[in-house]
Amino acid sequence: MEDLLGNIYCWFESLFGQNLAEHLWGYNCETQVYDGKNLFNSIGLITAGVSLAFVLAYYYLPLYLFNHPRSNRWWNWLIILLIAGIINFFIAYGWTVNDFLNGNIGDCLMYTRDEQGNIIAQHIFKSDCWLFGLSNLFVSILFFIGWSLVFKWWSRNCKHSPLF
Amino acid sequence: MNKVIQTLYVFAVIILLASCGNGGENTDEKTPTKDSIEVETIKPTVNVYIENSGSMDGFVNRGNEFTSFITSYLTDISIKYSNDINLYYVNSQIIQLGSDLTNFTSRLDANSFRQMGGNRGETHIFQLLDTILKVKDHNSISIFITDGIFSPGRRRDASNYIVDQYNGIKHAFSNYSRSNPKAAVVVYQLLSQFNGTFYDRNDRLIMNVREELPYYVWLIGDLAEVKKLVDNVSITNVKSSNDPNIFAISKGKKEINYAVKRGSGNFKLDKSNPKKEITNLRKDKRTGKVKFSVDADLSGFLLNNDYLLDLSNYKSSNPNYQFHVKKAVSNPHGYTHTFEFAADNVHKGNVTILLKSQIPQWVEGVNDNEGLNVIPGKTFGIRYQIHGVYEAFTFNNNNYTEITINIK
Repeated sequence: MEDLLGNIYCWFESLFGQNLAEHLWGYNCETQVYDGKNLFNSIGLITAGVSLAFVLAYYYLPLYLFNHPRSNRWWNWLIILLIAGIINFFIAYGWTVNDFLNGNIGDCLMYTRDEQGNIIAQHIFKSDCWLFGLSNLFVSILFFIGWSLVFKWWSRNCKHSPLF
Repeated sequence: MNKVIQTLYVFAVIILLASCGNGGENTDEKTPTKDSIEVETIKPTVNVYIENSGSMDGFVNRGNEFTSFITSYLTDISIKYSNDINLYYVNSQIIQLGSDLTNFTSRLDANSFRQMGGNRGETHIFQLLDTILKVKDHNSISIFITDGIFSPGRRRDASNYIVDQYNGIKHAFSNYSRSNPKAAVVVYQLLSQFNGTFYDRNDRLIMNVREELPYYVWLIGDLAEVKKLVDNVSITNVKSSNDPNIFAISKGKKEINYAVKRGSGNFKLDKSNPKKEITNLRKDKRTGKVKFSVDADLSGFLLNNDYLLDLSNYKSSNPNYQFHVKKAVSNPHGYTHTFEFAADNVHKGNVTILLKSQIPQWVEGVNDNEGLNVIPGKTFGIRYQIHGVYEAFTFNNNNYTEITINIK
């Protein structure tokens, strides 16, 4: 079960690349085993939490835009979904770009080097961090849909949003 | 309420179906301790035995390859390995010569050989080796320098004699390796100009022989120390070594450090055992082949690169995967060699590569089965000596190590 979130993120691995995925799985270049922290779990749990918070707010918080008679249109729900997604997008980007810029990603994942130690290929770029952010946006959408299906039924004003 | 249950069910199924990555649990598996050779702080004693039977006289001509090599080699050992060196002549008995290397090398001639006595008329290699093994202690390395020629004497049947010698050597080294689980032996075959009297297998004298003949340097000791000596005093760098042939063997199967090379093909490492298991192995889109590589540290053996790069010294358990071996690129893990595997299709299961302990081909090439004439570059019965040692060390197991990769 502890690989579950990582497996979901792997649906989008072709976007952000195998090497960044290995870093997020906790691959340690020195020991050559996965003894580092599984960042998919950390980022995934935050993403799930943010999505849950916005779903609960949408269905139960008695405020305009949230659990309100004027907010029960499908596009109201979509706006909240996108807000949660964008927040999660930047959480994932920020986390990975921080590792990228601070040298926290293992050298064997970052580069291929020649006999003299010169870099002959780079495998992870800043753009991969953006793409991982995008992947997290997709994961966030999945969570949002999932949580919505679970919690919508008890909402006073939005139980029929987005559908049924 | 039914809708709630239905949606919960759908959501759970979506999550549980997530399976693009490989399963398995992360573990805290640490890198196995590198099968490294311990660094000794106490320098071992080096006991040097030079056979001084009559057949050796033709080698000890000042300035030839033999004397030049012995002088250089022992000097290099005293500088680069250990200066605790004891020198001996050996024939029917061991003759102590002290530890003065300069005095010893200055007296490396036939006259000195004769003066030091002992029974110089016959050479029984088994008895010489047995004597050396019996006086050897754990913290010492024995170096035995010999022409390797059996000299049974006039009254013996040479064919029976040579088989007896082979059995004797096998028995002696079997006892030695049993009491020394880390035992190792290296035999260098070198060439030198021989100028003197040659004794055939019937002790018939062949006078004034001037040929290039082989002689042998045996290193006997614990693997760690022999390895250190071999590495510190590289034989090929010693003056007059002339690109020697090498036979090396050590006791027991060794565990080595190896790992699947990340990024060497279209696959994923198993999360729970990433060094030895791969998952989702697929064809490489560019080549259309299934491929993966394994890095291994083969530095713990006494084997030279020629041996380690020769595919005939390996055996694969899975013929579906073709493989070849090459030197590893520089890496921080100490891997010395890379095995590259390729197949037309994915074949799941274990792929095991055995590094076989084999007698090198040069042994047959330099063996003289007759011992009746001087044959340049050949030695009467050397194959029996090498086979005796080989079989003693490989009685239970004739593989140095094995590498197993599980394809899931």
